[in-house]
Amino acid sequence: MTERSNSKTTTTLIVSLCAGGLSALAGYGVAHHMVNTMRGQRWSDGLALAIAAGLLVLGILMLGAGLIDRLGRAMTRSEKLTSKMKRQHILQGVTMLLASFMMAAPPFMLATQGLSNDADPARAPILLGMIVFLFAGQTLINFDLWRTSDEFYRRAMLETSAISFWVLQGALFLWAVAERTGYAPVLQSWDAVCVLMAVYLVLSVVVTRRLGVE
Amino acid sequence: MRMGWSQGELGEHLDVSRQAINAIEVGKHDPSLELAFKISYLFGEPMEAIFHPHFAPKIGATHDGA
Repeated sequence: MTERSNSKTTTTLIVSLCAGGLSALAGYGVAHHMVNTMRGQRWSDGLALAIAAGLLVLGILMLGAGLIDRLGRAMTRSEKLTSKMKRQHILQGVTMLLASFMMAAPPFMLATQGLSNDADPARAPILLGMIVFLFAGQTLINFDLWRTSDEFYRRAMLETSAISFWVLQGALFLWAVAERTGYAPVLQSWDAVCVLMAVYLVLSVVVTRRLGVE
Repeated sequence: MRMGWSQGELGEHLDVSRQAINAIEVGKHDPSLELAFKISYLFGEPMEAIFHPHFAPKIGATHDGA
């Protein structure tokens, strides 16, 4: 191993440790703050907040990779980042932060109001309107990311989507049959969305690792 | 890299990411026909001199097509 690759490995290790530390701190902070507030909420609300915390940390890291040259080079193991790559990182960071907010906002609003199901009718339309607006913005950014990605990243996105569809539609079908025959409890669409997001995130990591993304 | 380029530099010439070049090099991604032609033109070599499909020996194919 050369001195240069040793230095790269050390930098990657430091960045990974920092990311791990940040994630742990964020996780602890969110968990500590929410543990009492979330008591009595649906399991999917807890899952949504865990996903949101993960996306928050990843979003900040991606945004950092786009804005701080040294961090971006360390994370992507590249000698230099082109303006296109920096833009991609920033946009990915923004989509993750938006997703984090959209996953956290509904359960957070319910939890802070001490409600477990229906939201306060005075606040619900504001939240719904805000999320529809943010979702539209996120969709535009996702479309732009797809349009400007190279064929390798498009392949990663396509494979993740295809495997997610295959796994989740199968699971949904089996759950629906079990639910219809009285063997499984009734799901809310929020439960299904939270499971979908969790599975999608895990699969995206698996697919990118399998394709050799370092 | 034969021209002294790093993966990142080659990626810049071909307008793809360093990760795409790495995946092609380690055999985890087959480039599209368009990208394969770009690589071929960039190196000034015929495509079959750069890429060696794993099935080529099985069907008796050679570089000169004989």
